[in-house]
Formats: sequence, structure tokens, C-alpha cells
Amino acid sequence: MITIERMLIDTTEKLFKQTCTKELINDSENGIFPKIFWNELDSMGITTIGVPEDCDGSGFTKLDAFAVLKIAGSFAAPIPLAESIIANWQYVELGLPLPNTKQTISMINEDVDLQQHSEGWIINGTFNRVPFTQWADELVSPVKTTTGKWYLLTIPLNLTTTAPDSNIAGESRNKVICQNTSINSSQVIAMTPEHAAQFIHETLLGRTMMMAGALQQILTMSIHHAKERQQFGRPIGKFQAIKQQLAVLTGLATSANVIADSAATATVDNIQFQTEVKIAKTYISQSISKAVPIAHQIHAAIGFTHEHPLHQYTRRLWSWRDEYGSEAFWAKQIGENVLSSSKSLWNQL
Amino acid sequence: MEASLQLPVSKASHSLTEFRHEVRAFIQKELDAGSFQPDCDSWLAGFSREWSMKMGEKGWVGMTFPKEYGGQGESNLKRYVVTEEMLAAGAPVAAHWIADRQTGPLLLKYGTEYQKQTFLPRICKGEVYFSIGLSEPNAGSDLANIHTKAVKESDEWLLNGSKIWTSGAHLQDYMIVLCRTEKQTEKKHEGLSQFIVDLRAKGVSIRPITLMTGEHHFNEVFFENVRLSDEMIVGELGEGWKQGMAELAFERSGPERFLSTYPLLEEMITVLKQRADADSTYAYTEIGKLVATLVTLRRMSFSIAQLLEEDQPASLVASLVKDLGNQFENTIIETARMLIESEPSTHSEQQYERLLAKAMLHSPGFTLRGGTTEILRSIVGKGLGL
Ligand SMILES: Cc1cc2nc3c(=O)[nH]c(=O)nc-3n(C[C@H](O)[C@H](O)[C@H](O)COP(=O)(O)OP(=O)(O)OC[C@H]3O[C@@H](n4cnc5c(N)ncnc54)[C@H](O)[C@@H]3O)c2cc1C
Repeated sequence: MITIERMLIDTTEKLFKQTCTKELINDSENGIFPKIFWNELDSMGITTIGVPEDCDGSGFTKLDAFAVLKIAGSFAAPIPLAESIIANWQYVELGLPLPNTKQTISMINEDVDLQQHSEGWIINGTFNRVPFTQWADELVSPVKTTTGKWYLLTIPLNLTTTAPDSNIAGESRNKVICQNTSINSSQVIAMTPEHAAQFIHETLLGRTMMMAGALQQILTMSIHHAKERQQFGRPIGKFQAIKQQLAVLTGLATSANVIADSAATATVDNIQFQTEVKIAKTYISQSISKAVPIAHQIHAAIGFTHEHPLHQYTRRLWSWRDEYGSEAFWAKQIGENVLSSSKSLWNQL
Repeated sequence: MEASLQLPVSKASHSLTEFRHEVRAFIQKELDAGSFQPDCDSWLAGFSREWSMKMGEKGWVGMTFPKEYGGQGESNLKRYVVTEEMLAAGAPVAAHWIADRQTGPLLLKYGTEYQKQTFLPRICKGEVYFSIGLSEPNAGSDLANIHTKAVKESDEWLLNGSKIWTSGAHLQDYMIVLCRTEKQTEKKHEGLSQFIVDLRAKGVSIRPITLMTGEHHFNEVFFENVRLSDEMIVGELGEGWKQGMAELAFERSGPERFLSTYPLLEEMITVLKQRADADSTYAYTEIGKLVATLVTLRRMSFSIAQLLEEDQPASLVASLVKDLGNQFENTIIETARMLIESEPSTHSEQQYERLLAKAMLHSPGFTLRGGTTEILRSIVGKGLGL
């Protein structure tokens, strides 16, 4: 029997395949928003997956949403999909209506100062490397005040200044600067530290799923190339050296998908979700430094060109592995947790 | 150990060390004057006519060529010092790199007197540049599978075909083209010849191939009835393969095979020194490992320069340097990421992040250009009699 979840994945995959073309990705790097593609996703309800239907969402679970994000990664989709989905979840969980504006999110903010006054709040501070701000109306971010309280802020981007920057895949990662930005009380919602932590880990998992998808894609492309490209009168995949490399890449992509799926499943039964996400991000980020060179090596010169789509994935993998904390950052936390516990490692797993 | 793997220990003489200081002082002066920004992979991507001519004035381009052809008649070891210092500083040496490294030595060994007189003095001035015309769409690793051909018609040759992945052809003046001068037989390596082709000649067209980084570096070069005189044949007709192979030891053992990302290492150390929160034990260990590898590779590469100076065979050990060196170039990138949390960006305000982005984006090329890792390793295997 075909489940409704399976149907969601199949139709989403089909849409991405048809619409998220090499040209569309290149255009996005030149600043052109893929409007038709986005509207289609929106009208299919993809941007509100994991939001219950009685809250105007399209239902399904967060697990399904993460499966969709893996597809987005496997097509190098240059859109703020993860950002929108995760922002929508926050609204619903805080009892707010779904907005009809477009959101991006940030979990990296340094020294943001919040001051309450009679009519609302004044924000001062900087949000770094915020994805796709030019294609969003509002920035949604959890912020911790100096008194240790957490708030979810919704900041209209037209009230801020942005300094443009991008990752090495050409996806915008802008700096958003708030200078005495005044927002009203309905745009500052108190949240628990647990909820803030949940937001952060969901954001982290969003990128992790996208990496797993992109890894799967570079494996597919590499296998294809190894079968097609002939040198010395036979497909290069017939050479032992290439077979060995492909076997290693297969191991990396497959294991990445296992740990990503496992972390996504934890959103449903919620066992050790945060630990699992950190482990997945760490494992997959560290595997990129082995996987990407293999894909490029197999493709050789043709894969070093702009014409060939390989770089749309490898440049994303290089970027995403460092976004929201590289493996160095998260491994250190994992290691610290293990070493500071009185239990043996085995009893901590 | 196999005799071909025995490398002599070569130490720099006092005068060589003094010369190194001279080169270093020159570079420092130029850096202070702002003549260039240190960059990664500068021997491939840092094209500057001005810089090449400046080096030419110092006598540092083609410095091993005899004085009668504009060179300095200096040793390979001195050239080694110049190249190493330039790469460590990330100076823009790409324009003259190929001419200095391989075209010049090729012409000295096989060229006619006319060719030597015509090209070498201008190479030494840093004003004439060459590109490498080997690869074709269906001849990458399987280089002998090339189809570009030159056919003799009365007293001229007509060149037809195309070359691909030609670094800098749009900026350079000439190309050494490997092509067929006899019909391809079972023995693919035979019947190949090398020609000097003027890249501005009639019938030559150059199409850019954009790199994944967006840069224009590669080209596809087409030849349509390009007329060549006998004077443009390098060495013997039909000996092109053998002549080309002789360049490989020079091509594979130099410091450009392990210093492409060195400016990043230097910058990483600068940043770490400034940071109070640097996780010292881990940082010390990782930097220590990089330094140990770097010093070893330098010794190895320098020893090969010594062998080449003595005209001894070194192609096997040269392959080893390239393989180990390329691994080192990539390890620098990964270590940088581990030690300094950042997100690389080509237009970051921070020099460190810019260098990291450049190094990363150029890294796929390291293990491909000048022979892929797989091909190098199979050469090593053959060298071991496997
Ligand atoms: C930055 C850069 C600059 C370059 N500049 C120039 C230049 O100026 N002039 C020029 O002529 N060329 C240039 N090249 C081309 C370069 O020489 C080729 O890329 C290289 O020879 C490999 O050929 P290919 O790309 O066609 O890969 P392929 O030969 O198609 O190889 C694809 C993969 O198969 C592997 N493979 C192939 N055969 C075997 C085998 N028998 N056993 C095991 N593995 C095998 C390769 O190692 C590689 O991993 C440049 C390349 C790069 C990346």
C-alpha cells in the first residue's frame, strides 16, 4: 500500500526534479528568486509541513518535513525552505497564527539587546549569516536577554540594515543589523529555554538533512560518471582505483543518511533528540572532507567547471558543514559531555 | 630500498641561504608597497604581467638558462629558492610559470638555435608566456589518445583539432601543442610531435570554460588549418611523447605541489597567535603535525632539485612528492577549519576567511592537474616493478 507520506515524498521529489534545474540554481546565485518554484511549493503546502491542519498547516509530522528537506538538499534547492518550515513551527507552538509573510530564521546572534518600553520593544544588535534575507519579509529568532529570559522575535526586515554576504555556494548569508529597531509587543513572545533549544536543534537538523541529501546526489553523479566516462578504452569505473573510491563514497553517503534519518525520527518519539542531532551534524560534517574530494576526483576536470552541476552540490556541502557549527564545534560539546559524566561511555549511549 | 627511491640529503649552502634572504627582502619590500595581496594557488591563478616583468628584471625568470639566451646560468637549486619564496608569499607568478618551469628547459634541450634565440630571452624578461597543450576532450589521463593532428602540405604544416582545459591560454602568447604527425596505430605513443603555436595566429580560436568558482582560467582552444612552418617543430618529429615525458620530473616535484595553500597556513597561525581562547593543546598538536610534514616535503623536493641539477632520473620520486604534497595542501584546509571556527567566504572582510574560501574552491584541481593521483600512484606501482 502506498502511504500518504510516501505520496508526499514522491510528489515533492517530482516537483523538485522538474523545477529545480541547473539554470534555476545558477540564476539564484545571481540574485534571482525562483518565484514560480517557491509559489508552487507554497501552494502544495510544503512550507507548512509539520503544522497541524487545524492550525492552517498541511499536517504530516516533523519527520515528514525533514524528509522533504533531504530532498531539497539532494536538488541543491536555493530557497529558504528549511527556514520557512521551522519558523512556522515556532509560531504554532507558541500559539500564534501562521503568518502570510515570508520568514527567514537565525540561531546565531551575538549580543542582541532587548529593551521593553510602553508601546513595545527596542532591539539593538547583529544577527550574523542569516539565509536569504532579501527574499524574506521577517527575521524570526530566539534571543536570550541579559536577565536570562528567552524571547522569540519577529523582526520586519525593512526596519533593519543588511550587509550582504554569501557562503561559497553563492547562497546569501547576510548580516542583519538592528539599530534602535522598534517592534511591537506582539512581535516579542516569551519562550521557555527548552523551546529555544528545540528551535536551535531543529535548525541544525534542517541543514543536516540537506547535507545528507546532497551527499546522496554526489554519489549518484559519481557512479553515473564512472560508468559513462571512458579512458584507455573502458569506463573509468572499471579501474580498481575508481572502484575503491566509489566504495568509500558509498559508505559515507549511506551512513550519513542513516544517522540523519535516525535524528529526524527522534523528533517524533523525542528520545534524546538534541544529542542525536549534534551527533548527526558532527558525523556528516566530518564526512564531507572525505566525500567531496572523491566526487571531484572521479569527475576530474569536467567536474571543476561551472557548466557541470557537481559544484552546485559540493560547494553547498562545503558551506553547510560549517553552518550552525562545524564538526569541531559540536564534537567538542559531545566530548565535553562524555568526559564530564561520572558514567562510563557505554552507560551514556 | 629501491635505488630509484634513494634520495640524497641536500643542505643549502651558505650562499644559497644568503640568496634566499635577498629574495625574501625583495618580496617584503613589494608587500610593504602593496604590489600584491598574498593568495592561495597563485601559481595557477595569480596572473600579473607587471609582477612577471619585475621578476624578469631581477633575473629570476629562466634563471637556469645560459647567459647567451638571456638567463643567468644559475643552478636549479637557486631557482628552487625563488619559486619556493614566491609561493610561500602567495605572489602572482602564474603568467611566466609554465615558460619558466617547462617550456624553457624543453627548448634548451630539444629546440633549434632559432627557437632558443627567439623565445628564451623574452621568457627571461618575463614578457612571453606559454601554455600547455596536452589534454583533449577524449584524452585526459589517456593522453596518448589525442586526435589533434598536423599534416604536411608542400612546405607547411596544417594543424587541426582542439585542446581543452588549457590554463591561461586567453592570456598567454604561445602553446606547446602535442599532436599527431602520423596516423594513429596500435602504438598510440608513436607518431606524436610537439609544435610551438602562436595563440594569436590565424585559425586559432579560444573559448573560455568557466571554473566552478566563476573564474575564467580554463579554455578550449580550437585549431582550424593553422599554418606552421618546420621551424616550429620542437625536437624530432614523432618523438613528442618522449620529449614531453622528460618534462614531468620538473613538473611534478616542485614546491608548487605542496605550497598551493601555504598562505592560508601562515594566516591561520597569525590568527591563532592573536586569539586568547585558542584551544592550545589541540592547536599546538595540529600545527606541529603540519610543520613536520612541511619540512619533510621541502627536504624531499629540494633533494629532487639537486638530482635534476645533476641530470639524474627522478620521475618516480617526483610522483611521490606530488602525491604527498597534494595531500598536505588539503590537510592545511581541513586543519584550518578545525582550529578556527568560521564560515569561508570569497568576499569576507577577513583575510583568513577569504584565503580559506579560495583554497577550498581551488582544492579539486590540486589532485588532477599535472597527472591525477590515481595515475601518479600507478606510475609509482610500475616503478616498483609491480
Ligand atoms: C586546474 C587544472 C589545470 C589544468 N591545466 C591544463 C593545461 O594547462 N593543459 C592541459 O593540457 N591540461 C590541463 N589540465 C587537464 C589535466 O591534465 C587533466 O584534468 C588530467 O589529465 C585528467 O584528465 P581528465 O580530467 O580528462 O580526467 P579522466 O582522465 O577522465 O579521469 C577521471 C578519473 O578517472 C581516473 N582514471 C583515469 N584513468 C585511470 C586509470 N587508468 N586508472 C585509475 N584511474 C584512472 C582519474 O584519475 C580520475 O580520477 C588541467 C586540469 C586542472 C584540474
